[in-house]
Amino acid sequence: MLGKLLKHEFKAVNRLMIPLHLGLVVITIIGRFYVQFVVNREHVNYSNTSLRMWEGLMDVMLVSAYVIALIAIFIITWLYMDILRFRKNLFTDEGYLMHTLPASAAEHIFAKLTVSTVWQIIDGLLICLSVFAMLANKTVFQFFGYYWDDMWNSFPQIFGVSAGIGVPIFLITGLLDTIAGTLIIYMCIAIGHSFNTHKIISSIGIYMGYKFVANLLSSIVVALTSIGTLGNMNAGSLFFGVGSYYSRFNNPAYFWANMGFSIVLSLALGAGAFVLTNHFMTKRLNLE
Amino acid sequence: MAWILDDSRPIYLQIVDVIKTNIIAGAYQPGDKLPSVRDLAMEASVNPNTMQKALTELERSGLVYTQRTSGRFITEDTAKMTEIKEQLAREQIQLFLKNMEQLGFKKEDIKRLLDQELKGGQ
Amino acid sequence: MEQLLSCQNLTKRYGYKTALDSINLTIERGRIIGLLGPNGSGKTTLIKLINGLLAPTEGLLLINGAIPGPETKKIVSYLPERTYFNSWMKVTDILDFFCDFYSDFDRNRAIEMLHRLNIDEKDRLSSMSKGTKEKVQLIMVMSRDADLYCLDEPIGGVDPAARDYILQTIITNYNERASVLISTHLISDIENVLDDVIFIQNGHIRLTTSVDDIREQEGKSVDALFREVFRC
Repeated sequence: MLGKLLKHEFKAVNRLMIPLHLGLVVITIIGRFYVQFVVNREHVNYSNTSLRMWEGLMDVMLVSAYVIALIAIFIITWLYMDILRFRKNLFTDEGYLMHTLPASAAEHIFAKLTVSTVWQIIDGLLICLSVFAMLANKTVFQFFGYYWDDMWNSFPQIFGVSAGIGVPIFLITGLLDTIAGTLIIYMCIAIGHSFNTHKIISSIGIYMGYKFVANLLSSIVVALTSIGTLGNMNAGSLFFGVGSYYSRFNNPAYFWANMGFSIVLSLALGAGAFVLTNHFMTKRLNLE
Repeated sequence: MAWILDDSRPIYLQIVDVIKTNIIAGAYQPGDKLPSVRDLAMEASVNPNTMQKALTELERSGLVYTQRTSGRFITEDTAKMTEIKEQLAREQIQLFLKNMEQLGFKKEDIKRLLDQELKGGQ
Repeated sequence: MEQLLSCQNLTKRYGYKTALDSINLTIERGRIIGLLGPNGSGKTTLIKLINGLLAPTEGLLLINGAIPGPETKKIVSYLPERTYFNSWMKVTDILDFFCDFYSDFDRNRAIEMLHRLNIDEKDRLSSMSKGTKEKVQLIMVMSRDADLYCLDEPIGGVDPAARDYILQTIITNYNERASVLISTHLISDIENVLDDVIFIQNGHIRLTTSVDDIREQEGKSVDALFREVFRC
């Protein structure tokens, strides 16, 4: 059943996600050509200052447009995958079909979570690639070629562990953080839609309430233990570095405490959000 | 075939009447196979259970019989047919007489009017 | 006969409003049942509870002995009073969807019914009228070999020809293992296809009986009795 849910979920969201990200690729290609042939233009004659000014203005505008497009694609992906799709498919008219399929609430949540996570990873990767493709030129490659070893070797001096360990841990933490974030939004939607009226406002209110409590608890934890929730957005704000400032650098204990705390917190938050979402989708489902 | 059903009597009894009339009127010939319950139900736009009940009732009256595997058939017993035909006729006549009485006609008058009508009609 | 559905003291409250108040009800197999009541009487609430779209406040609802969940959803086919398909879907997409999720879905039966109504499988829902969409949905729901069909106001907004088609579809697909529960307030239209009726008012069951009993004992149609019971 999960496999079938995944298949149809991909089929439904790909209708928006594929064109959106093809758009990103197209923007990147066009942008790259622009950078290659126009921005890097070697002007023989700069006597015409007004032409120069217009060219400069256009460059700035196009770069801004590119940045805005990237942000928009990122936000649309997140908004659609985490909020709109989950709500529309399960808690509006479409929910009449989805909730009468012989699938459990847990299977619905897993299917939505998987598809959302996959697309958010693709989205993140493509955005990174796009930026890289835009910036990459001879100087950048030379810079990396020259400083790569230094960067790699200096990693332990900052984080206390080697880059070979630290980078995967960062990626895992980020992934778990994304998953927990998605589940927390699902939880807020599921609880909000169990109310008889004002379902959307309730969902938002629950989310804000959650954020407030999470920030508060996070501040207390940080103040008491000096352990920051490095990289964990869902536990509150980034409290990286608050507390024992001097022990931060080159301190494996600090790194592991921080990352371990983040990972455990993501797992706990994700699991808690999953259990609550599941409960509200089975015991408290309340379709209009 | 129109299955005009009225509101006050059980539907299955009305169906019994319609089928009886059809048999008497020759729409179904003796020995004919009746359509299946489902098809009859479709035709009459009624519930198959209701049609089933009507057919059971018809079997009880002897107009229809079931052959274990091949379905339901109209009886070939012509005496039975005549009996039912006359029974239906008597019902109509009784109804007619009752209505005439309500209009205040005596038996002799009814007879006279009926004779007149029959002659005129020929 | 075997019990297909049973409700024991089934209660559903929305906040302070009681939609269903301690309902006791059983439905057997092989029946076509009218769930009749004025607007807001609790018809839709009962059907949603059967389909697990709402959870009971109190009491118990069992389908084939199990509380609503993935297992009962395999044997219950539900037509809600709204369209639930995405408008970008083509008819073939919907057929694929039902084929994938319901093992009792009979694709050929559905295609046959669609053809009889001149609906092309390649048509998109967005190009269809509301009435046609409703018919597509009914065909999907009736093309399953379910044990219990719940049809919520299937003849609400359709023209008389479509209404006849819907009733024909219900009769054609009838089988003695399955029951059909039809909620409506348009009684005279469906009276002839019903075995039993459930009168529901303000969350209470006023009467459960067979159509024949009403006619035999009261000498009037269900519609006439309904008007009498629910006189304003």
